[in-house]
Parts: sequence; structure tokens; C-alpha cells
Amino acid sequence: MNDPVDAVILAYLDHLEGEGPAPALDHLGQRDRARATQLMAAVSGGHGIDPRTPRPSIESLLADTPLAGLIPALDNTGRGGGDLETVRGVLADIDARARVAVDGPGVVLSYLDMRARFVLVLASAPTVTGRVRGQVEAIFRDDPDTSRVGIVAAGSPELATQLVSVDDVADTITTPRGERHTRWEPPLPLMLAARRLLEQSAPEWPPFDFDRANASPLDVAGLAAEIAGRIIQREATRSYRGDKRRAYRALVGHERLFADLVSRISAEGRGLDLDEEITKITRAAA
Amino acid sequence: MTQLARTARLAHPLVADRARLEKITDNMSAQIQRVIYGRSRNPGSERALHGGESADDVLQDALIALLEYDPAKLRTTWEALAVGIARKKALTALRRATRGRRGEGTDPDGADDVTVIPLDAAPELGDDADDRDPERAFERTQQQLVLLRLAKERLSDRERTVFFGIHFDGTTRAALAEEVGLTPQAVGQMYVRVVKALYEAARADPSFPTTGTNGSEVGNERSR
Repeated sequence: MNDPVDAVILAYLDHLEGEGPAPALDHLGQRDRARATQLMAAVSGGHGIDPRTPRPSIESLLADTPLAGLIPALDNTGRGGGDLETVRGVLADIDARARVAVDGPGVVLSYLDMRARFVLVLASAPTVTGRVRGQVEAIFRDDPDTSRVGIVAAGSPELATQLVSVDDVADTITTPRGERHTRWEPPLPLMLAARRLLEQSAPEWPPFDFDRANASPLDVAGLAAEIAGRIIQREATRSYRGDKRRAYRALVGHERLFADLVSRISAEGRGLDLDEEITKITRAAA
Repeated sequence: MTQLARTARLAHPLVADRARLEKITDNMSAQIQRVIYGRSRNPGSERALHGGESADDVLQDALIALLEYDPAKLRTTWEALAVGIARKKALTALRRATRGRRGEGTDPDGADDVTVIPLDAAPELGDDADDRDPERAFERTQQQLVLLRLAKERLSDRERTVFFGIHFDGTTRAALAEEVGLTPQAVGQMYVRVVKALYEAARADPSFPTTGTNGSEVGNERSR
């Protein structure tokens, strides 16, 4: 450690952690002393500032207050000016597997059973004001299959987008237990927001196909006999007592009775009294 | 009358200067957080304020108060006024949150010796007189915001964990050492290296406010 200021800062950290006195600067030259003073001020000057969470936009801070109209909503529209066709164009370039279409007042992006609906708000930031929130709630209410709603700021040059799920706009209760509040996803440019949505939330279906080689008709009677044989065999080995035990044991080797019954049901349909036929078989067995 | 008030608001100098308003709002947000969280910020939780208020709610109050301030009555800069408003709003919120609780020195087995406002001491806002001067406090906080921006741009994940932890959260080196898998000494040395590098980079940044040692501003002129 060649720089004498390093030791001073370390001693200052000890001091801030309650482990020692404030460091002396007497041994430093004038230049190092000035540098150490500036650095110590910098070290202690940041305490308490939240470095991770961006502050809310001015629009969102003033939303639903008497000053809501003070900052023009389309302050930056000259740089943006997005419309539905622009939104559709951006979304269409993201993933060829996703279907994108203008649908009423929004643009719908669909991929398998995931559906996201993007709506434009006339603002430079995708702030969820009371009015926008009502709009989002109505979308989820009218189309419960909607996975996400993307609020796209038309006045933002990169079409800043806030994605919200139905849980984000649901009523919540905050408890003073010190847990971190659930944070919304950060607003992102439309392209990044949609890409993130597909990467994180797109459903995955395993590949499937029909067995086209096996085209022979289903042998219902054979299948019924196989299932009946398996069940009777299993039940006959159980430790039942009395008539039940005798009945199951008597049925072993007579699976064909059930196969015939299934065949007759297939042929005669509702004309057959299934309960009566079953009773006949079980009584005979007992 | 309402129309008159609206016209007056539209003539507000901060409304006309969006960049300055953004800067002031950033600064107010940081001032409020410093008052509310002080030296021991737990990044995993938020300090519970009265009625479920958050630091953002206090910021909203402060911003509204700033924008409703009559420009004709302004006797200082908007920056200094913003610092004063932000700190006052944050202290008020903190007092509301702690009203009726026991003071730190109260005997736990004693009778209900409940103080009215057990905010035992005003939060420490700085180590020197500079931080008590709103103009200088604004500038000091602007410096921190430049450091923060540079840290986000330049540091690796591990360096950022160490820098954010010590510099902003007030986490001890020992606690951070466990988190990042280093010794406390190595954590301290990493922090010193990072803070020196960031400070040097910040000084070269045009948005970094600098003043002379006597408090006079250098290259950062502001108008009322």
C-alpha cells in the first residue's frame, strides 16, 4: 500500500463502523491531506441513498395530484410520436414464431397460449396513473386470457414500455414486517420489454405428433379384456374377506365377461342397463 | 382565481427547465433517503413510515411543495430550497413514524415512559458544516449521484456489491466479506481502490460539481 491516503480511508471506515477514532491527517502532506478530506467526505456522504431503485418519474409523482397537468404529458412527443402501426412493426421483428396484429385500440402479441396486449398512452413515460390503471384492469377483465399488458409511452423516442401482469394491478396489503415490496418490472424500450417477456414468460410445449404408422382400428374388446384382467388379478391377491374375496377369485380367468359387456355397450349403446349387467356378473361370481 | 393559479404555475421556472427539475428531483430523492435511512440502510427492507408511507410518497410531497412555492418569494436558489423542503418533509415523516414509541434510553422494565416524539436525535446528515448549508448539501449530493452513475457504468458485479454496501448501505466490511467471499481486509482494500478510482473519474466528469475549499463555486453557476 503505497498511497498514504489509503490507510486514512481504511481508518475512517473503522471509525464509521464504530471501531476507532477519526483518523489524524497530520502526517500527510498538504496535497494528500486535501485529497483525504475530499475522499472521506465522499465516503460518508452517500449513506442512506438507495443505489439500486430508480426514483419515480416526475410524471408519476405528479399523477393524480392537483399538479398533474403542470408537466405537459407530451413534453417529448417531438422525439417520439409512436402509433399502433409502429408498435406492431417493432413487435413483429422480435420473434418470427410470435404472431403480432393490431386489435382494436392495441397490438396483440401471441405465442402459443401466451397473449400480451400493448396499448399506447400519450405520455413521455409509461406511468401507471389512475386512468391507465383503470384501462389495464378493464383489459384483464374483458379478456382473462391476457398474460401481460404493455403500457407503451407514445411520447418516448424508444417507446418506453411498462409490462404489468394481473397481479400487479390487483389490490395488495402492505405489512410493516420489513419485507421488500414487490417491485414492478422496470420500464424498458418496447423491443427489450417484449424480448424479455418472451424469454421469461413464453410457454414451452414439448414436441408432439400422432402415431401415423399405427392406423389400425382400436380393438375395444381386447383392450377391455386386458384392463379387466389386470384389475381382477390385482384385486384377487388382496386380503379381502368373505364374499368379496370369493367373488374376485372366482372372476379370475373370466375377464372375457367384461370384454363382452364393453362390446355390447359399444354396439347397443344406451339400450343396455349397465348396473343390471354388472350385478349379474358379480352375483354369478359370488 | 383557479385560472390565475394555473397561469402562475405554468410560469414556474422549473417547469420551463425540465433538465433542471429532473436534477433537483434526483437530489431531493437522495436527501430524503439520507434522512430516512441514515447510516444503516438495509437493502432488503424499507423503513416503515406512518400509514404505510414510503420515501417516494415523501418525495411526492416535497416536489409538490417545491412547485407550489411562489417564485416571487424565492430568496435563495431553487436547489437550496429543494434541499430544505426535502429534508423537512423527510424529518416530519420520520417523526410521524416514531411518535408515541419509547425513546432509546427508556428503561424496558419501567412504566409507560413514552415520549411524544422519540426521534432521539436529528439524523446525522453530514460530518461537517458544509452539509448544513443547503447549497453545499445539494452539491455534495450531486457528487454522490455522479459517483453512483459511474459505479453503475464501470464496476464489476463484485465491486458494485462492495461499493454499494459500504458507500450507500453502510454495511460493515465483515458482513460484506461473507457475502462476496473475501476477507474483511480484502473488502476494505477493494473499496478504497474503487472509491479512489471513481472519485478521480467523477472529477473529470463535466456534471460533477466542484467548489473551492472556501465554498465558492467553480464552474457550476446557477441562477435563481
